[in-house]
Amino acid sequence: MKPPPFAYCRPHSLDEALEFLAEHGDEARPLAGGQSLVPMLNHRLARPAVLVDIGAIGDLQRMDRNESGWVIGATVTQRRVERDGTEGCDLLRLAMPFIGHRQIRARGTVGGSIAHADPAAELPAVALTLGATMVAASPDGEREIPAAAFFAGPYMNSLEDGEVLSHVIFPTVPPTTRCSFREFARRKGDFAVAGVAAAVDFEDGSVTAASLTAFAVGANPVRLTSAEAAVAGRHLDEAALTDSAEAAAAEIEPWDDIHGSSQYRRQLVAALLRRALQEVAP
Amino acid sequence: MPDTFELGGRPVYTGAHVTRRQDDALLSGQGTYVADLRPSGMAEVAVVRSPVAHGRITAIRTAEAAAVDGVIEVITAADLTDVAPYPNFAAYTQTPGTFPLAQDKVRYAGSPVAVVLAENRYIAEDAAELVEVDYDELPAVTSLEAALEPDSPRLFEDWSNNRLLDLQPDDSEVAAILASNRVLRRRYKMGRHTAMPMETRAALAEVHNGRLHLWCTNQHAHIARTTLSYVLPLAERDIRVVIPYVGGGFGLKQHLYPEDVLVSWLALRHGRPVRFVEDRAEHMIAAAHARDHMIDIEAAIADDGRILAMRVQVVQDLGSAEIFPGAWCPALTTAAHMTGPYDIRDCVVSVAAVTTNKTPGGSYRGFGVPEAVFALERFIDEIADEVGVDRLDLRRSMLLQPADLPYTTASGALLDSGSFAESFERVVELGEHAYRQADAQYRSDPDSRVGVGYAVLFEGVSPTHHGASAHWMGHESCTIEVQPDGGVRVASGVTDQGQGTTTFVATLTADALGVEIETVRVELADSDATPYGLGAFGSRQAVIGGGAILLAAAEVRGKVKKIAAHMLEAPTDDLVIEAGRVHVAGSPAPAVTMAEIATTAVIRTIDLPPGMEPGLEATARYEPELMEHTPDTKGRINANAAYANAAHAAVIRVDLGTGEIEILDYILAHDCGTVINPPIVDGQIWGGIAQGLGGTLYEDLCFNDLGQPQTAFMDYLVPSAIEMPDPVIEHFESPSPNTPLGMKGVGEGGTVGPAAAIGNALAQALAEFSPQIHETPLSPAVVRAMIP
Repeated sequence: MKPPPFAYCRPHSLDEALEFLAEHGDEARPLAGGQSLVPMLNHRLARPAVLVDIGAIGDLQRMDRNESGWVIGATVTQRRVERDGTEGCDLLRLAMPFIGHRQIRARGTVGGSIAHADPAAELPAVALTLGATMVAASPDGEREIPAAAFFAGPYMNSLEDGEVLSHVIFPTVPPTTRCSFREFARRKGDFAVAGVAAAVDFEDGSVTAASLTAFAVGANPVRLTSAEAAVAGRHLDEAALTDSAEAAAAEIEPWDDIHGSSQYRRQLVAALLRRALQEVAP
Repeated sequence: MPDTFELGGRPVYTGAHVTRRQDDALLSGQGTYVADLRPSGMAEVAVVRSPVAHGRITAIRTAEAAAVDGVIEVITAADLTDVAPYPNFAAYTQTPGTFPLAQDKVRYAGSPVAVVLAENRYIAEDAAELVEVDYDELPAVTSLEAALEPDSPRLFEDWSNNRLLDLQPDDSEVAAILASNRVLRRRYKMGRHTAMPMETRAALAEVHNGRLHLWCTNQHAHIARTTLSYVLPLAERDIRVVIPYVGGGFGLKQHLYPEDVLVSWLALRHGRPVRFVEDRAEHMIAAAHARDHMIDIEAAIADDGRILAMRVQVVQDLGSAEIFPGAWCPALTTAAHMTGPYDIRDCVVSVAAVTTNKTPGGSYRGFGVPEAVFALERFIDEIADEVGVDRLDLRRSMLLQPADLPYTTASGALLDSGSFAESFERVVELGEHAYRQADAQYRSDPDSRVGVGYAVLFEGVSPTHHGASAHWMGHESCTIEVQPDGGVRVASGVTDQGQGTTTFVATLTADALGVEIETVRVELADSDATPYGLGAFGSRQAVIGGGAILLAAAEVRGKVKKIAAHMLEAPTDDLVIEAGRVHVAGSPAPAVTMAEIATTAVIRTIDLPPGMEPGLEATARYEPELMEHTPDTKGRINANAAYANAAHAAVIRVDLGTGEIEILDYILAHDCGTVINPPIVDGQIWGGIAQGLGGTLYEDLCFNDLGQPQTAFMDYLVPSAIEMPDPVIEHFESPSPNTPLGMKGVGEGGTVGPAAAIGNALAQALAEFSPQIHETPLSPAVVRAMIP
């Protein structure tokens, strides 16, 4: 479990980092908190010739709120988000404790987790549920990518060669929106066997908008559009919960692995979604 | 039993909360492990392992790897021309002919095929990737059921089947009872899991003045030394094995692994230190796996559910069996525990141990007993359901009562003492109370069901080594030397993997000599510095090592008193030793100190009583008198020096949505006879429960149909502090009349019960769904499938 040889550089500006990445092309990988990339190096599952450590770039460490939401730089640690809080973005707060352990969150970054696009990771699910915007930087400038278009398969994103994820904009939600984040993992801190995220808005007790996402049940987090349709305009009574949970179980296409079959993951999503909807029901 | 098995006087440290000797070093990072040793000129190895589970090696190309800058040599089996296969002393088994590197064939994914020796591990791993091996793949045997099939592919072509061991005793008496009674049959399986010590395996070999020094993580300095001499072209006198700090053994480090031999061979060949430190990815596939048993029970049942007779078949999946000592002994141990602490006079067990294309099985805490307890205790609950009697009353009707002791089980185990019924009743009392509280709390929750389950058990402790090796028996050794300043050096063959061995050695030595514990220096685990002993396995060290300490101390004590009597001009029999001073009982002055006596014994020998030999030391060996090493003609054997007992209760909540089992309460009453150090005993039980729960709920070493291991460390779910319940531990003390001080071993009692207790609790919690609970692990997915 020793990595193959690699060169390492630690630029202090985004421009410099983009230059390194452009110069080395496919051979280079940006390194943020290292919580996924370093184990992959040790297992020799990733073999970049050059690691571009983006941890010293001040521009990537911004964390502020503007009119569109929370702007979180790529190398802001998960622990900082957890500690500083993100008012108006409850789902992010709810998801944070599920990411690994505190020690992992102290190194792991928001941008790193999203760019890594692990199917079982929490932050991609939050991004998809809230409709976050990923901002990619390249020598040509910045490009905005909506969450729904960002994840391109397991461990794959839609960044182009030479681009680096510079920050993510998580939209804030109105106070009437209620959120729930539910995850089933074998042990505290493990990757999810299945999880759901919910952001639901109500008027007079009826659902006016529902954004429901399942994760760890496919290549990328997936919006549960049938389950959303099943609760649209309804009170979240027992019948609505059942309809939505059954719709969710039917619309996902989970895989089998040693922690559970496809069938088991459908059952889990149904149970977790039911509990999430119970939690957000006014 | 000799009456020398007593402490010299009133115990000061035995039974008290003596602080563990190694804790300061361990907690402040001062403990030196093999991975901390860096002698100058040290080279490191990386092992090239087979990616194929079963195949014939057709070519190995090493030239490209050997040409890498910093690579010293790349070796394969063909280079080891002066190395012998590991021996097999068990005439009743077939022989795998294990060799340190694969010769011709590989039989599991992870099998060592070649070794790269390089200036450091980074270079070694880079070069290892360049070694090219061609395999003709063969069909893989990946389960014990498949291995038992008559037309199964064979791992060893010179065998006629895959049965390394196949013992079919005469079952005619039991068959007759089965034929004339109601019979119940069930099959139980325990999954494959293993120890995950904080420190992986490691070995560092050096050559000093023509002698091999091996620093390693093995649990036995002397057995390791002897085994190396069988395999390497080296006389035993030219080998020294030293075991520095070890971060957990759990049985897994009982085996002398190929890497231990390979670094030794390379150090001898190149004359420089060579080190192997296993990484965690290697540990998952190349360190011994364990459990993986199938148990079929047929029992004749009385109308009230009592078991009249049992016919049992135990099958153990050995993996490739390429390990030394061999790994079949857990199956024999399962067989010996199939009647539990119940009065079941007729029980016959056949045992098969089969080879499959998986990582070799080996020793692991519990060693066949968790399998037996899971099967029998689940079976009793199932009988109760089937017959319609209370599961607790059914146990009560069969449990051994104090008046039944001593009792010899159907397998030949001599239960000379114990608190089987008492510990069970106590756990039932606590368990029922906890269950009522849980039931009240969750009754109105539609997503939850609660249940309580029980297991009551005995476990053989301090066993003979003969069952595993057919070579070593069961003794332990001790040398005690009092030095001129009165300080005591005690050297023993026992070893310390972090469980506190050093502390009990100091404790018993101090009390047996009547000296202050601070004056006792303990030397363990160096084959040059300690008398030949067998080390750590089977919860034996306090019992058997303790016996050796007491025998050696008695001899030293006798001489101390004789010298003191001479110096004080008092009768020997009137003297007592307390806190390192000898005086007449009842009058603390005049006194002579241990320093004065020892100075007389080894320096001012002119002052010794006339005719007395100089010196103040003794070496003793203890081999328990009643321990048997080979079975009688009916297969019965008293293979242990003692038998501990325990009762477990688990109160659980099942989440009907996810299938997750939450342990609300875990209660355990344990009896290991006389307790030397209460906190250490509690620690052993805690750790044992953690490993028992791990194998029951979380840990699973999976293989696919090609024999490819599917469980990386990330997916191997060792329970952490968060998953561990806060157990209630109660102690019973039934001293054995046949062991030194009445001690019994404590290392495994926590591990052997959880599977049964949780399985039974789950059966109660989900009773409305009539779940079939016959296998572990009970993962959430497995449990969820029991719920409609």
